Amino acid sequence: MIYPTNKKDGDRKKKTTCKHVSLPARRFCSICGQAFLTKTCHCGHVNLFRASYCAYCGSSLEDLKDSQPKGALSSSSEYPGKYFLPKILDEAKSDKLYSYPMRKKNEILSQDRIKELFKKKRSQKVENGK
Amino acid sequence: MSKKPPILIIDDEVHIRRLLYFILKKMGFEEIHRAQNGEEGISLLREYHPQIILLDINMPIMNGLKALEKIIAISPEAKVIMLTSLANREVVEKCLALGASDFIRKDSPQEEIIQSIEELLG
Repeated sequence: MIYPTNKKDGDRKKKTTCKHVSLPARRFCSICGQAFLTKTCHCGHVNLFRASYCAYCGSSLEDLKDSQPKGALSSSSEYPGKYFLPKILDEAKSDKLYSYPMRKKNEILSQDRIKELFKKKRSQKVENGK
Repeated sequence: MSKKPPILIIDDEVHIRRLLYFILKKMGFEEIHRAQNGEEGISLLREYHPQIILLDINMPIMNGLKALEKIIAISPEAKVIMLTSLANREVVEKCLALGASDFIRKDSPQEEIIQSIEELLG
């Protein structure tokens, strides 16, 4: 959908080299796919091109060069944002994340698994009795 | 062969009660009592003091979990085998916490029930 480029909607337009108009908070033009100009602070927060200070951490953006994302499906390391995927994956590799086994309440247990649980309980009882 | 202790079956389904009855008869049990729900089961427990109880979970009037709680309160030495098709983790863990001696899925082979009862009898 192309939005009208009248004055009223003028401030909704994001700075890009294409002439299409897009809604705010979008990172790419929905018509031609070109990335909008943004500024990324040292922490990786993405800000508007016009911003002088980061809206998330307050650091100065004046001395930064324009950072233009090279495409949502390009290398994830080039995609700055709040959820920095490679960092999360690195943490997962180092057992920082997901180290606790996921237990679903409604998980259906096999007879063998049930037996195992009851055996464990019985042996615990015996140990406590001693 | 030593005399088998009294045993109680609590299940709302007639065919399950009948099947369990025949399995237990085959095993040599003579005193087999049957109840349709938890409430009836508890009155039979007070009357006959069975050592082993086969208890279903999904039942009308009083379900198996409530019945298990009462059974353990009335007769802590009774061995309760939960026999149900509802085998999710939450239910199994609740039964364990309440003091059930064993838990058998209804889709398990007969041998599983026989083995469990024999183990509990020692």
